[in-house]
Amino acid sequence: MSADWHDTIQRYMSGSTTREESEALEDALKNDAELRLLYLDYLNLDLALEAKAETSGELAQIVPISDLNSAPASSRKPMRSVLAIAAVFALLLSLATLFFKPTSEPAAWVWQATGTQTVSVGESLSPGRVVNLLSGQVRIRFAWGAILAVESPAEFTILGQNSARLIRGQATVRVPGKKKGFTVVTPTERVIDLGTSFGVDVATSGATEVSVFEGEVKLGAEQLLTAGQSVEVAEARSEPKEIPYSERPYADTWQISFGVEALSGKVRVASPSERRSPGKVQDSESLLLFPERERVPVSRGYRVDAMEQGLHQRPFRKQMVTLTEDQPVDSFLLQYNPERSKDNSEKRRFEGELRFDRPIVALILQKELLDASDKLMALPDVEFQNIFRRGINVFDQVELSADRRTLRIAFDLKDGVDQIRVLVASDTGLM
Amino acid sequence: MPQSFDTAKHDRFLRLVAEHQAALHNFIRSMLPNREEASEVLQDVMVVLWQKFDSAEDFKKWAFGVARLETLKFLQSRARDRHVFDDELANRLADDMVSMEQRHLSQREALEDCLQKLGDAQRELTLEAYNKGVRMNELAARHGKTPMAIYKLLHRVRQTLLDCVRRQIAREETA
Repeated sequence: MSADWHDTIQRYMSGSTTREESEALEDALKNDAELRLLYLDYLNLDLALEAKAETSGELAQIVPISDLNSAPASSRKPMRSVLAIAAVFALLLSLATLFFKPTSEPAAWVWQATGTQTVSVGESLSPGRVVNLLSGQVRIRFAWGAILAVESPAEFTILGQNSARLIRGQATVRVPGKKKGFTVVTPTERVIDLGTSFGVDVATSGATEVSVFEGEVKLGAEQLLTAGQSVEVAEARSEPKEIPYSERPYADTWQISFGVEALSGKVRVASPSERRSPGKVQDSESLLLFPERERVPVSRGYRVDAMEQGLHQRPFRKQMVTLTEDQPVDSFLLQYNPERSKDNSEKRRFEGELRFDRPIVALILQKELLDASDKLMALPDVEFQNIFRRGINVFDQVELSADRRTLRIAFDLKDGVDQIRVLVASDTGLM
Repeated sequence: MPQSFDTAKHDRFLRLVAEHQAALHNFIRSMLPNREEASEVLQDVMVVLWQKFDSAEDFKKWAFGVARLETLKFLQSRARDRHVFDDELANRLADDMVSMEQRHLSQREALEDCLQKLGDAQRELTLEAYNKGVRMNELAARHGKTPMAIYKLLHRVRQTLLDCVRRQIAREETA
């Protein structure tokens, strides 16, 4: 492949090739799969950089004045065009509140809105949008991947594709995957996430508490907090004070951040400190839902135990069930692991219901496939080898609702560990 | 919570659109590289989708089909004024783009690290150049360079980044 193609492709994409060059490129692309690969890789690079530029430019977008001041005098625009730009900006913002706005990309989307009319599911939120949450709870996904789960009463502003301001209230922020740098601005602190999860609580006075659940968080300019640390900042510019670590108060927003809309019966979501050790956590009173890896790319043909809605129980059909299309999924492990010391030899029946804010794609119910799926679905460093586990047994029932978002479970439990895996459609598609 | 049928349908549509909008934009770009034109086409696609929306369909497949047709239509309308890729190539690029979703996701993840390897000034200028509606002349003036120098620099940076992400995913694949 000639090195010149790099140049031609780049110029074609920016619209600066001659007709002859374009025609030559067209011929070559038709006959050369490698060249098409190069072309589409370049395109993907462009798309990624565009998205990235939008994220890093977001503050300047909100405060266009700063841009003007930094421009050298020779290129400073006359006042009239400044006003024109401001007008266009205002127009874009007002358009944003309409239907959707394909021309200017929104900063975030609402994926869950329960018990509130303030925002609705599917709504896109543009930079500058203020949400005053008087009741209910919401889960918002930012274009750059971060998830913000907020519980009423709370008030917050969308700042851009990767940042928000929490004016008051409590929130859990999670940034799945390798993405870094989500920023939460509070009245007293600017909190920058370094690729993980944390809780923020802003009192009406503006006093801010931050608890780091997983990974690291940068507080203000230099202070670094790590998992298991909590701090309090009483007022702007005051020194952050370390306080005892707490994750309990964030249990609700932590649950919402995974898109678990409702739980009933004896089911609860594993807390941040339990999340990575399903084998060690014992609870005789409830089934635990462990959020595992998110946005796992799963290909068509991947083996599972069940996909159809309706009731699933032994005996399973003999034919293989496989995914019918490529699909990124979020994995959850549902586990019953009673304390050994207690007398659990008697049989007990557990019933419960899980409702997600997006469809369940497939279920993994038997030991063989549970083992096989650990590598892809379990979080790194999680060990299952010491657990004697099984999938569902003969008296267990799992029922997937018609809208695929609710799972009803009835487990007959004896001593031992019961596990199933629930694969839920990821809310990707934006990046 | 009582809800009229139309509201429920509208909600469902918005949710699906939110989920697929960016992927649709990227898909259109594989046939039509110009960013503004692709946005125009996407707008048309959204209108068609809403008019004919029926939840019984496989939304993603259907939406991509509509996007393909609308883009081909747009390309044909422009073919009189300038050279554009013909249907055969546009279709093939679109097919390739779909099959490369995973490859491209990995490349995007790798891009984070690759951007960090650039010098600060280079990285900032590159991201500035990718801002929507930026003019090369203004960008050049702001950085005290000629537009030609900026083009050359961007060209080099893009090739560096592309090599870097390709190397990274090749390493991941063999790891």
